[in-house]
Amino acid sequence: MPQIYGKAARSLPTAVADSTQIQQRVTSYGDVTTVQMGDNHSSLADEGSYYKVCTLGTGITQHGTATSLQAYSATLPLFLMKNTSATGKRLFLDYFRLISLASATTSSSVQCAIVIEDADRYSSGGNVYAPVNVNSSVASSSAVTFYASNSASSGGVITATAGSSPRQVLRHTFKTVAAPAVIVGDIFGVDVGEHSSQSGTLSATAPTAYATSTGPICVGPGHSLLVYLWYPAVTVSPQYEFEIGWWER
Amino acid sequence: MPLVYGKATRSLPTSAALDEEQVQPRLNLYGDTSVSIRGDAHSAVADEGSYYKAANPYKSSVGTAPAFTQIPGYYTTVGAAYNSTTPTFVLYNSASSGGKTIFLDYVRLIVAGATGQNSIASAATGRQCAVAIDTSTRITSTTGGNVCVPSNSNMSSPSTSVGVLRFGNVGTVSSTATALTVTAATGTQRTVARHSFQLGASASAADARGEQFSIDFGERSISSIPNASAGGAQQLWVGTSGPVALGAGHTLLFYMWYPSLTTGIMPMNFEIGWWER
Repeated sequence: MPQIYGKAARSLPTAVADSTQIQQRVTSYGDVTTVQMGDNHSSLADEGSYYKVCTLGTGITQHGTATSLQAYSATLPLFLMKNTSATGKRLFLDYFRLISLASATTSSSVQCAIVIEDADRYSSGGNVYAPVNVNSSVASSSAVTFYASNSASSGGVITATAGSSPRQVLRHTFKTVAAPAVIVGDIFGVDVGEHSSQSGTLSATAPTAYATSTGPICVGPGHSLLVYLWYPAVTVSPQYEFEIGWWER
Repeated sequence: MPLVYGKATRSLPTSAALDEEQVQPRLNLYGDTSVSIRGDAHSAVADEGSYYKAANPYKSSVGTAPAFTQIPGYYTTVGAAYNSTTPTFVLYNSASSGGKTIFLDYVRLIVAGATGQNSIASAATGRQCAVAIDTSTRITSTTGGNVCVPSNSNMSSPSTSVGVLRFGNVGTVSSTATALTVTAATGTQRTVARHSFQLGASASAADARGEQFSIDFGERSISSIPNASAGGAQQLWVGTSGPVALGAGHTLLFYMWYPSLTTGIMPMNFEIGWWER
């Protein structure tokens, strides 16, 4: 069988001039040495695989009956993402960020979970936001249908099906503090996949950015991703603007 | 057809080759190529001459040790709400169709000027930010703004940028006669970043000279940080976002606004980094 060989070079080799033919460099163990051009996510943007949904000036009201948000409910996600790809593409969630626009009166903490399921969990309601490709040279559309709950809009609140084989892939407490746990200016963010979250307070009384990270989350064609936030003891619904990013491959 | 083979090795091979020896590329048990990355991703693009930065000139009295208070910065007009025609800065990709794409890396803004050189009223309740890209050419002959020539970060590279950056207003401290103004957003505009830097009860605290506002694009590390004004103390406010790619002939617009504010003037220094490929 034909075999390919590289030249082992642990120390820095002598540089050649542009356009010179040169053998591929490998480590002393055969690892191919490489230089990465640009960060990983920008490479995805370059090939047209990266999408975002960002609000701009108009936020969402999570639920008109805030007491519905006092406990986790499988049928009341904040966001629901449906992968409708007919070409086998998978959705890789990258991050999301929520910017609080109003105080969630009497809430005592901010709880979060992400669930994925190998089925369409969408039943009714919600605002549909059209994802944008972050590469202005690429017109290709996302395979994801993105819903956000917004009781202040005609779409209203998302109702998801109960689910039969859900997989919980994130569980977090953003904040625990004397009411209200959500105030104007708070920012709640989750970094997915590569991550290096930093320590910080969980109980500030002034506006604060709360960040966390988690391992990768991947959703196949025909499958769903649901983001849940709930707030024990809340009586006034949170309101947010948001930014969310993902890629499809 | 010829097939390419490597040597599958899950554990570290027991024998290390000497430099110059011929070695088969290493694969894992699934056939994936084992790689060893040299240097960070951004330094690699700088090495090939593809990384650029733009910053406003550092001004000081000749022969005098520069003091921060002597840097006036560029004056930007800020309002109480988002307005698609009045960005803080605009970056246009002047490459011909099919040419290079600009990948935005980071933006850093530094509040400049001596005390009293901004006209931000005390009513503002925070600093909001958004980034948009548009397939339309949003700049015109009357766009205004200070033209800032990008610098190649590699001193050995003569390559010049396809980016055309215009920042802030042209004029004196209180002048808004040539405010940076672009054409209105069309249906082709895409919002690709949204952030709230800071909430505070008083803008006089929100615009303390030396305060910095920074966004990293692409890879990022989310931080848990205070988002409230710290009274009169300067702070570094950071945000992160996913990647942004600006194609040839397209426009990137960076917006900031101050809710509850009446229109005011803010002096800014800045540093913006990107690469082009």
